[in-house]
Amino acid sequence: MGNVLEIKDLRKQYDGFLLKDISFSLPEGYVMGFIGPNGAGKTTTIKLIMNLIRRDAGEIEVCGFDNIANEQEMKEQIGFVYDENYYYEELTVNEIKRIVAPFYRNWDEGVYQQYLKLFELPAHKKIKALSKGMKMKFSLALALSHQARFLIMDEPTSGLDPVFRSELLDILRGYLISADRGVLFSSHVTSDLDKIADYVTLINNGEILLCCSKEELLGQYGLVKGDKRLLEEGLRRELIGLQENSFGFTALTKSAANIAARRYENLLVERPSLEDIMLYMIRGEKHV
Amino acid sequence: MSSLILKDILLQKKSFFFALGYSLFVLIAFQNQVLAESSYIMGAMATAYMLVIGACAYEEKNNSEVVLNSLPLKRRDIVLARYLSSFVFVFGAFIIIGLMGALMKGLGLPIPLRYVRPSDAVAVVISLAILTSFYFPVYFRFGYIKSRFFNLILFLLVFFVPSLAVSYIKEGSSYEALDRVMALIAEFSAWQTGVGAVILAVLAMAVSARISLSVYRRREF
Repeated sequence: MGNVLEIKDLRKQYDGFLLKDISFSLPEGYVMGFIGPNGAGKTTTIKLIMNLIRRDAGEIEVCGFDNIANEQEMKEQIGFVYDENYYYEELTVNEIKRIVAPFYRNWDEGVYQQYLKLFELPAHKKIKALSKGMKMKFSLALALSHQARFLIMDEPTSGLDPVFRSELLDILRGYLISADRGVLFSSHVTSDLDKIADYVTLINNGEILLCCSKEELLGQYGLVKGDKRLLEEGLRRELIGLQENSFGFTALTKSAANIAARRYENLLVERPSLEDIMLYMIRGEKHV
Repeated sequence: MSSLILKDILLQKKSFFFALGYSLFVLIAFQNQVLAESSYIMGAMATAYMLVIGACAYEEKNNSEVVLNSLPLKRRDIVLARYLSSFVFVFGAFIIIGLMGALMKGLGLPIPLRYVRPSDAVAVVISLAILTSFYFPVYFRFGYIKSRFFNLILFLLVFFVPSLAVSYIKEGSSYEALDRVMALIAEFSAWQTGVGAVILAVLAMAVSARISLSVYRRREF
């Protein structure tokens, strides 16, 4: 099984921001949730993959193609859905399709028409007349109609209603029926990723804080809640992003099973959500 | 690349009525002795240039270069398509003003004074080629918004300097150097001057396209 995405020591410096030699990869057949707060480096990483900005150092390969040396071949393999609409507002759905389709060797008009029908997209309506959800559906229809092996989605669900978000997750599950495909799903709405991500990469301040399978992540990490007195029993050093109040404490731990096995009194170890993991890890970073 | 040119045409389809209106305006307004001879050239060039600028403005307004540069195409194609679509616009603008002039003459109106000539077409293409040769490198480097000031100066230079020069020549100049240049040009036949201008325009476009490509390759979106 190969990787659809492989990033090695990727570096990009702006005024006041540095993407610090990040590395991660995504195997075929899976969805990677790319999470982190606003300004963490998610969009910068995606722009670097798409060669919209120039890297200072490092390597990027998509489906085995270097993103600079084999840029066109690489982009043939990618379907992209960005956080906002970048298509011409003055043109109709059909006109945009006429412009975009010829660039893809593997454009499948039948598949496109199926998505148009499924999403109830009006072919003769101008883009500016579509709702935000409809614009997103249109981007998705274009992204899924040229047999792309790698789907990049940058905050696709922000501002969308729960019904469409749920539909989108079903579509992604359908897309991944072909095992040689992969999805990089960047979002700070982690509840969607709880449902669909197989791998999770957390980025903050241009650094990867964690990158592993969601199963491994949820198996290792736990949300610990307990009496403050327990902190004096050596528990403190095992906690991440500790938050204390007059009733007790809450924190994340990487040794969930270990702590649970010690059977402390007045201590709860719960399964965290991705949002818990993101919040506590980022809080932990701030207090380092 | 044809898709990129089609995109520029589709974006500007509403400007057809503007082109019609502007052509009519030029044919009526440019009827004094100085400007009448160049009314087809000036009208077609101004219309085409405004269509070129309009296409660039749509790109920036929609921030669509993010999408264009995410598609499997080379940055070179994006740059060259922009140059090629300017020829499509000049062709369209020339046809419109030519037909408009013919219609007015056919209806027996006193203006314009003559039908369009092939030499007008050559002059329009050369003028627009030189004009866009200056504009595009600045546009590809800075984008539409940031290049507006440069564009304004260029536009004023192109549309006021020639008419000033024509009146200056017709009224008789007192500048020796310019007189010598004019005398030198007068020694060449019309076709020699035309060939010289074509060579100049081709060279300008080649240099301009190279600069545009070089700056656009470094652009970040």
